[in-house]
This record gives sequence, structure tokens and C-alpha cells, in this order.
Amino acid sequence: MAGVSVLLVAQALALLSLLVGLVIFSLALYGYRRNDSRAMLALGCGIAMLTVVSTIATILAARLFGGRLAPVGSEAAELVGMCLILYAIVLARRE
Amino acid sequence: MADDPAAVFALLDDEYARSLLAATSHEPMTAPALSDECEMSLSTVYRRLEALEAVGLVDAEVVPDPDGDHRKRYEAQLDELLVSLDDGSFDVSLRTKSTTAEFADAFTDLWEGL
Repeated sequence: MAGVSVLLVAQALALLSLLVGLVIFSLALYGYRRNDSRAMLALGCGIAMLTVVSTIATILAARLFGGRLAPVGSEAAELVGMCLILYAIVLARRE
Repeated sequence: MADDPAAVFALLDDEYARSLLAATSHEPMTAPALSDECEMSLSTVYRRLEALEAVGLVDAEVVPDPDGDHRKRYEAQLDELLVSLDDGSFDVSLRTKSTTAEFADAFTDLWEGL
């Protein structure tokens, strides 16, 4: 019973971080459109990879493989996300 | 605002009105300051500002002056202008800077200020 409620809390938290990630992602995209800043585009995509894409990859892996497979997809998404944020820092310096 | 699209079009076609809009888009300015910056006579500035204010493109606020002389400061209210043609009538709707836009700009400034 305790296991189930902990799982529920974890799922609720994951959903919440997904939502906050979406808000930050859309703010970054809006900033990119308004100010024509490519750094913001890279930052937004990076945050999207870290939150939305990574969570979706985790859910998909759980659905398809039932946790039998190492979380390669979400780890890869997070790596790409961090690289994008690093690139956004470099771009912000240059622009 | 939407009452008279033609007045809005006429103002946007006017070079003086456009420079006043551009100058007041950064910060609120007084008419004499605008007259200096845009290099036009004070009476032109007042005439255009009055027209701009009438259609809602510019907003005026009264600032108390230490000399007891209350000056109006003008600020552009235009961020995006949407012109639509529906069922034989033109309609213009003005979009001023939203809170979301302000957040997005602040976020951009923050990041680019790294």
C-alpha cells in the first residue's frame, strides 16, 4: 500500500516538473521569437530535452519494456539537453 | 480603438507619428523632450500626440514636477497591431505588451547577460 502511494507521489512530481519544464520552455521560445535570440532557442530546446523529452522517454520505456531495459532513452535526452544548454551559454556570450 | 481603423492607418502612414511612437516605446517622455529627440516643432509633437492618444496608440501620465509644473509623459502602447477584414469591414486590434512577454524578455535579458 505504501509502495503504491509513493509511486503516485513520484508520478505527480514527474507530471509537475513536466509542466514547469513546459512553461520555461515556452517562455524561452517566446523570448527567442521576440528578441530574435538564438541562445534562447538553444536554451529552450535544452530545457525541453531535460524535462519533457526525458520524462516521455522514461514513460515510453516503462510502457514498452516494463523497466527491463536500462533507461538509455531518457539518459540520452538529458545528455543532449545539457549539451544544448552549454551551447546556449556559448551563444549568449557571442551574441 | 477599433472604432476608427482609418485614423490608425493614417497615423501609421505619418512619418512624425511613427517617430513619436518609436521614441516613446523605450520609456515615457515629455513633449519637449520628444520635440528635441525627434527634431520636430513642439506644436507638431502636441498635435500628433493628441491624435495618437485619441486612438489609444499612446498613453499619457501626469508626473508631478518639483517646480509645481505638472507635465504629461507619453508612452507608446503598441506592441502588435492586428488588422482583420471580416464581412466587409476592417477591424484593428491593438496588442500591448503582455505580462508573458515581459517575463520572456526578462528571461532573455538574464540569459544574454551571462
